Amino acid sequence: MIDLMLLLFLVVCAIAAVSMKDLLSTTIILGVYSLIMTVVWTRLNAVDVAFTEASVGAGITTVLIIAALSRTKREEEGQEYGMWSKLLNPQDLKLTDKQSPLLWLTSLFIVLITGAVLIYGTIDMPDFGDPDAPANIHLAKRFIEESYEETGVPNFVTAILASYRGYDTLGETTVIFTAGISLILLLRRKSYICDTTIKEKEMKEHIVIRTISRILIPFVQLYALYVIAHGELSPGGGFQGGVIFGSSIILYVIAFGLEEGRKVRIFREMGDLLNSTGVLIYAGIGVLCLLAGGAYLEYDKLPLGSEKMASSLGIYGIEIGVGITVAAVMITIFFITARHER
Amino acid sequence: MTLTESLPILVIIIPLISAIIIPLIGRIDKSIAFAFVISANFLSFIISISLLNTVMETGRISYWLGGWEPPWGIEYVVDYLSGFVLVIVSFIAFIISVYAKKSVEMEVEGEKILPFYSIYMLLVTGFMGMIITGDIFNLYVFIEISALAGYALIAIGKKRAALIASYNYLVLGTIGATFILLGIGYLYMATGTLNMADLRERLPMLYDSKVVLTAFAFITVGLSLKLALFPFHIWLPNVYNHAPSVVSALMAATSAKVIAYVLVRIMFSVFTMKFDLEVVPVTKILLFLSVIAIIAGSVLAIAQTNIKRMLAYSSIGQIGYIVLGIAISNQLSMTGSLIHLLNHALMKGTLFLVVGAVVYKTGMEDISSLKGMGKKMPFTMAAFTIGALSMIGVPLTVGFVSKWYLALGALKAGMWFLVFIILVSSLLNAVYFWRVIEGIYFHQKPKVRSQKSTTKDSIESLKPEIQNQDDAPVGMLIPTLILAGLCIVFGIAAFIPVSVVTPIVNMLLEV
Repeated sequence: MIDLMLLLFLVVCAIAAVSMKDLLSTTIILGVYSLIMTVVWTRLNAVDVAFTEASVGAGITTVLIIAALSRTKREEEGQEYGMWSKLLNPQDLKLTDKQSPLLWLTSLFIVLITGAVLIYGTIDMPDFGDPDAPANIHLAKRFIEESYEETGVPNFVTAILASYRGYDTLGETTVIFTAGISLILLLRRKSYICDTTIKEKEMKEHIVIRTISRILIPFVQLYALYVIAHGELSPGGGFQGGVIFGSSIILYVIAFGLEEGRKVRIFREMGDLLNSTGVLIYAGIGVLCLLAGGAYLEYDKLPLGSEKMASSLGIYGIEIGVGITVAAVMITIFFITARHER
Repeated sequence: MTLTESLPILVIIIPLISAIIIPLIGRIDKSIAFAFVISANFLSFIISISLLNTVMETGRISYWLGGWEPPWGIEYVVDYLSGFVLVIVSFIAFIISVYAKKSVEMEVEGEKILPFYSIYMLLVTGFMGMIITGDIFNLYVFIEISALAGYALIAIGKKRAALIASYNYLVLGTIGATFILLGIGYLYMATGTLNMADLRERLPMLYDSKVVLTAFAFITVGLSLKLALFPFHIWLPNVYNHAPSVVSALMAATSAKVIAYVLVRIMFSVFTMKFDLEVVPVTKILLFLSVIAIIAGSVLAIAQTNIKRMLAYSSIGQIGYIVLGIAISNQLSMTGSLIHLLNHALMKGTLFLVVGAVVYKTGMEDISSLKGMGKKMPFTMAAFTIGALSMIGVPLTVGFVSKWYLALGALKAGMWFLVFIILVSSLLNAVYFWRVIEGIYFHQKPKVRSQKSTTKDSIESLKPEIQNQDDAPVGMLIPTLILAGLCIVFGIAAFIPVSVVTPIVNMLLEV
């Protein structure tokens, strides 16, 4: 019952997000959407995914989109009519040369076909939670039963992400790195005069925000470190921890502003350095494994005591690497996208 | 593990690590960063050759990442097919990185050169990773890396239109990637595995499962979007047109090849011939689309006035050729298709490098700006002519070899009308390339007349203008000439690539 309710909420949020003209509201609704997804993931016992969804989807994505909005307008342009009026009376469409009713109908047709094919695919899907489903009997069996013996990591989600499929995680960390460096390439201006996202004066009055931030930030950061370090035992890990740590710095900037150019430069230089450092640690540990005579990312071969110990330490190492890059890239993205005063 | 055993991972890790540290060491000196890019690409090219060599001698190489036995861990697979495409892509990436220095300095702002090179290497890493992986989810991860890097490199183009081009590509590319991911998810749900070899074993008994059919549909449509197969091509002309010359060259020469390779992998290595021919009519659909792509690409190319755009439309037609061979799917046509991966990379690479050199010298991209260039830039224009003749498919050039095999394949399959299509398209190619070549050698550069022209001046302007030879700098010229030279070498000594491709075709078609 509650699952159906959640699904209904999701659909409502999705429709609301599409039909809303105010982009800020859309962003918030998308945040709500992610929050509901978090609950759904938890209901599915996928706590690690829920954790990521909460920190990334509901948390930092919302902040980053708002930061990007600060550079543009709040209202969506070029839409005279809402989505519903379009759907009901296509002749109301404002006809630009690129937006003919024909095009509109074709798009609708393509979307419907795609949806129909997706639903067609569900017919032969294994039942929900079927213990005999292929996904549950083939690879998952070994992951669940033997991962602790083989990797020394109690949380087998971490064991899969960091060890069995650790190379994919290196790839994903590289994706994050690529995102950061792409923004540096495209959006960074040479001169930062002043980086205050929200004007000093405006925020001075918000004593509540400042006080609470001052109290909260150290705890948020401590928690982030805990999430990174404890990823082997409990849900969490470098990715979520990195995002949380990045958010704490962003919170600081939003609440206090960065009035001094000097501070901006420090953050910028550090950011550039750390973007690379994190993923370099990850890739470097792989190379060390090669040098120690193993395969790439075969942590057991590292000369760090017993195989289990080496594997466990190797995984710690890469989690820290992931955490550093993720946090640094989040901060970089925020600084670059948020509006600078000129 | 010895160094030789670690080569399959080094071929990816070297460009990856260089991408990561370029922003760091570049702070010391930019020229170190540039040297780094060249040497990383060179190393990965050498390793690719050695891998292909090993495969020829000892057969398929399987590398277990993290030491985990597949299907539990991720597997890297070098066989004839991936070895061959690895060599093509790493070679083109190396040649273009040598060429890049001056062109990038002109087209990209000074402080952006470091991130530019870093992303260039990430793009190469993404492509190489897509080729070598034997794991379908790992494939998606590298698709993401290359896609993200591609969007950024295109958007850095000088005009604002580059941003729009990149944005459109981003939206369509993301839809494509999402479709691929959905397909992968469905495959995992049906089989419980992500390893390609394991999938191949487990799928045949599930060929009538609707989950598998949906997965296949989504993956093929997603790949077609990224491949720019007609009618999914709309993003491509703007991208090639507005991206920096170096990026256009790299994307045009390698991007479609890598995706075509992935399509072949999915159709023939993950699924089987039997599935493609008997279970779903995918070859028929691809045949239909590729024929339209061949004709439409060529016709639209004729209508262009911008040279990069003309080449882009020509690429759409050439992608049609590659898919055509896959769609006919007999030995000869597949040989034609796979050879065309190499041949088109060589000729489109040549042509785009020439255009890059012209942009570097004149700052113009119109076809008319090439008029009279035969005297000014003789070597560069000679390279252009070779590339253009290859595109038309003149004998003794690589273009002829591909078309010959495709035509033979079509005949063998009893589809004689395809031979007609190939002929018509070659004629259309001749039309739009001849127009350019004619301008290069037989026209004078239109002289800009000043307003106060006296009679004497106007008489003088009627005389042929004597232009000083002013060719592209050596660093740009040599890579261009190497590619152009290879268009001839592999056109004459076609047996070299054919001897590499034949075992691939036998492997794919299980002959």
